[in-house]
Formats: sequence, structure tokens, C-alpha cells
Amino acid sequence: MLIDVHGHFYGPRNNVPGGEALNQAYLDAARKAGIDRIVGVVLGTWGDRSDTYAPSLEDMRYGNRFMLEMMRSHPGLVHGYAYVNPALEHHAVEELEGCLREGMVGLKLGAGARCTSPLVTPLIEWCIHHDIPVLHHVLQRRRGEYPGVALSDAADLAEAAARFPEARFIQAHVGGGGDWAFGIRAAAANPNVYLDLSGSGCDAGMAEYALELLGEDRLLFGTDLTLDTGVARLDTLRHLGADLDKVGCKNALRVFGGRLV
Amino acid sequence: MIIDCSVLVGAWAFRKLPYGDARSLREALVRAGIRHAVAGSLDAVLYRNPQEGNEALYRALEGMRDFYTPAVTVDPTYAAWEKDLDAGLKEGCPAVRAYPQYQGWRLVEDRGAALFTACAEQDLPVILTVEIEDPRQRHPLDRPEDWIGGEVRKVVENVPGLRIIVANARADRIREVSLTLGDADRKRVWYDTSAVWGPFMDDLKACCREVGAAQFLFGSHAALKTPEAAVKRVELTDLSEAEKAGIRWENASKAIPRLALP
Repeated sequence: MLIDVHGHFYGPRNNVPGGEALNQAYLDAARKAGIDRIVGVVLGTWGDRSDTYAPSLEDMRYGNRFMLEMMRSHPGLVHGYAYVNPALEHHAVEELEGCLREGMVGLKLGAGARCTSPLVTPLIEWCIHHDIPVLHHVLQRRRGEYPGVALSDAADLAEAAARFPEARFIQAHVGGGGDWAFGIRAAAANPNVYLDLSGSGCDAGMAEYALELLGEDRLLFGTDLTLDTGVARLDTLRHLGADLDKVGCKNALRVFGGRLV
Repeated sequence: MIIDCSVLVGAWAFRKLPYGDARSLREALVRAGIRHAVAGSLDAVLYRNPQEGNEALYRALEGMRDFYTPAVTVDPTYAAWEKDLDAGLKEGCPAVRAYPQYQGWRLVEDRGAALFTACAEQDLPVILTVEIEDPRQRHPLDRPEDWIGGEVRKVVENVPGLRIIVANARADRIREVSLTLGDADRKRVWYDTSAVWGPFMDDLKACCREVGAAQFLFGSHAALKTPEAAVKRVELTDLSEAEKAGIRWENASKAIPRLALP
């Protein structure tokens, strides 16, 4: 079984070239690549009405409602993360609670607040209490600030993971741009951080270094926006002798606490 | 069969490469299913005198010329660069690599024009690399000049018969060059697949529809990038098998006429 822990879907309202048709393109490509389970997320309106990584209350709810539709349309195949903006405080917690009640299996955080912010604390505590993982968008290494968002990098996530050792964090897209070696080193520091292998970047050495520092028990297969690079990373790991059953499936089953069966 | 039109052999100052030498790179490429590779010198990108990198490349490829064909790196601002070009021709190089963003010149300068004219006369395509590394991960000292797609268009328009291969370009970079050229000129510019997004966004398919699949060449940008990703991209893209065969090997003979496969 192959589980994609970082898939994306798009509601009718979005600001992405390709638009809603990407949903079918992704499902078709996933089938072709042999993916059996997808844990997906809709990032609000993907920048159409509010920032992709810091959605408004309306867009947060809009994206999650569409994610639930995708889950219902593809039972067994598609699972969902609740995507919430921590800056919306109690609204974010209420949204997370509602999404989990309706069958979502994880929390996705973007850049509404840095992961070390007190705004994020109630969400992480909620995830610990309900035994669900947190997929966190990160730059691998932040070298500056960006207007309108509070981006976390891998060092920030390491700080959050050390503060909440009972939480399970998935550090997003090691190939998503930025200094991946920095990201891998930061992730290695805490056993409750798992690395998702998605991202368009396909540098030689990335998979090797991730395997060396985190080991095959903390790597998770993912695709994000480019399925080809995620699948290729499995090929590299196969050559390196990694247990692909763990990377492609067993680790994800463990991280999601059996909710993907 | 896959011909990789864009690999680099050597070291990169800003990070260690798992297969920087020609022999281990060949193993990685073969393992991914690649049968032949056009290789430039990675050392030559940063060397003041690129010929030192070229000579090291020719030595490194000795005994492996059934798999590798070298591409000579030329800096048209360096003294006696014409000799480097001649030496490359004697070594059987069917293509030239130039790095104006690292070598400190602009594509539209007269110095560039002399190189481009010489290459057009010899039927040598010039491989221009948009970026060696993703800007988001560069070392603070890795600060090349910006890539300006409009300058490629001017070069193509100004030098009749010149072939250009744009390497490691994302879709937006491909479009800004190709879609601003006239129909005839557009057919003298090719793009490798090493940085185009594959499925499911599938920029590769979109670019093939907009630019023409005949203008795309398989390229991995190894040893900086992993060849597996380049192979999967073409394998999984939503193009016809005929178009994929063109990208994997057939288009290479049109872009690189001097490329002689064993």
C-alpha cells in the first residue's frame, strides 16, 4: 500500500492555474503511480480571496467543506486534514473540532502564526488530546520575513516539537524549496518530527541525507504539487536499501493512529 | 532509450554531491535508465579559466566515451577563448556550455555575439543554464546575475542559424523565451526537462502543447539533481508515447546535430 501524506485539492474558487480540474489530474496521476490512500488538504481558496497560508475565516471554512466533499466522493481513498489559521483563535479550534467530528484525520497548519506562537498552543494541545498528527508547512530555512504571513522554518518546528514531545509533527515537503539539508538536520533533533518527502526540488543527496539522519522509520511518502518527484524519491530510497513498506505505508499508518485503514 | 542532454561532472563549491565524479554519476544515470549523456564540467562554471575544467572533464571521461559525450564550457570574455572552442571540437564536443550569469557578461554584449556566431558556423548548440541551484537554497556567496529571458530572444533573432538549449528552466522561463519568438526562430530553441514540473500540475505537458513537444529534450541536471526525478517526470506526464520518445532521445539529434551516438 502507498499512502500520500501530503496531497492537495482545489475547490471551485481558487487562484491556481489549472483550477478545479487539477483534482481529477491528481487522482488520475495518483492511480497511475499506485497510490492507495491520500491525506489531502484544501488551502482555503488558494489565494483567491485571502492568503493561501493565512486564510480568512470564510476561506478556511470554505476549503474544509470542499475537502469533506472530496472525502465523501472518494471514500477509502481520500482522507483529509483540517486546515486552520491559528490567528483566528477560538474559531480555529472550533473548526478543527468540527472537521475531526466529520472524519478528518489530521491538522494542517500554514503560516497564519509561527509554530512557536502561543496562538498555536491550543491547537497542538487539542491534537495531542485527540491523538492526531500536525502537518506543518515550513520553509526549510527562513532567511527573512515575508509580508502578511508568519512562516515557520524547520528550526522553529524543532522548537515546537521539543516543547510538545507528545505531539506528532510532519515537517512538510523536504523538497519544497530552501536549504533542505538545514531542514533535515533540524528535523532530526526530535523523534516526534516526521519528514514528508514531497516537493518539486529533486536535488541529488536529499533522500540520502534524510535517510542517514532520520532513518527509515521517520520518513513519509508525499507528493504536494509534483507527484513525479515524490515517486522518484522512493526510487532513490529503494536503491539505498530503505524499507519502502515503512516509508510508503507503515510509518503513515502509525502516525495517523490507524485512521487510514 | 534515454539520452540525457544535460549533466554536469565535477564538484560544486556550495554543497557535496553524492555522485560528482564521472564514474559514480554514470552508475546513477544507468541505474535510472539513461543510455547516453552529454556532460559539461561543473568545475568550469566557477573557474576563472574554464578550460581547466574542460581538460579535467576530458580526462575524467576517458574510457567512458561510449556513455558520455563532452560539452565544452566557454567564457567569451576570457583571453583566447577561441582556442577552448577549437580544443572542444577536437575532443568531439557537439555542444557548448556558457554561464553568463556566473562569468560576468550579458547575452546581448558583442563578446557574446562572437561566441554565438562561431557556434552557429560550426553547428554547435549553446546550452544556457537558467540556474545552477534553486535560488531559495543558495549559499549567501552564490549570487549569480539574474537570468533575463528576453536576452535569449534577442540572441536567437540576431544570430541566424544559432541553436540554443535552455537548461534547467521552469515553465515560466520557458514561456518567456518561446512565446515571444516568431515561428521560425522558435524552432531553433530547445528546453531540457530538468526543472519543468511534472504531474499532476504537469507543466511539461502544458509547455509541450504551447511550445511544441519537438522542442523538448530529456535533461536531468545531474549530478546536482537526481536522475530518477527526470525519468519519472517523462514517464508519468500525460503525453503520447510518440511525444515521450521524442523527448527521451529523438529530438536530441535535431538540437545537437553533431551528437554521434556509439
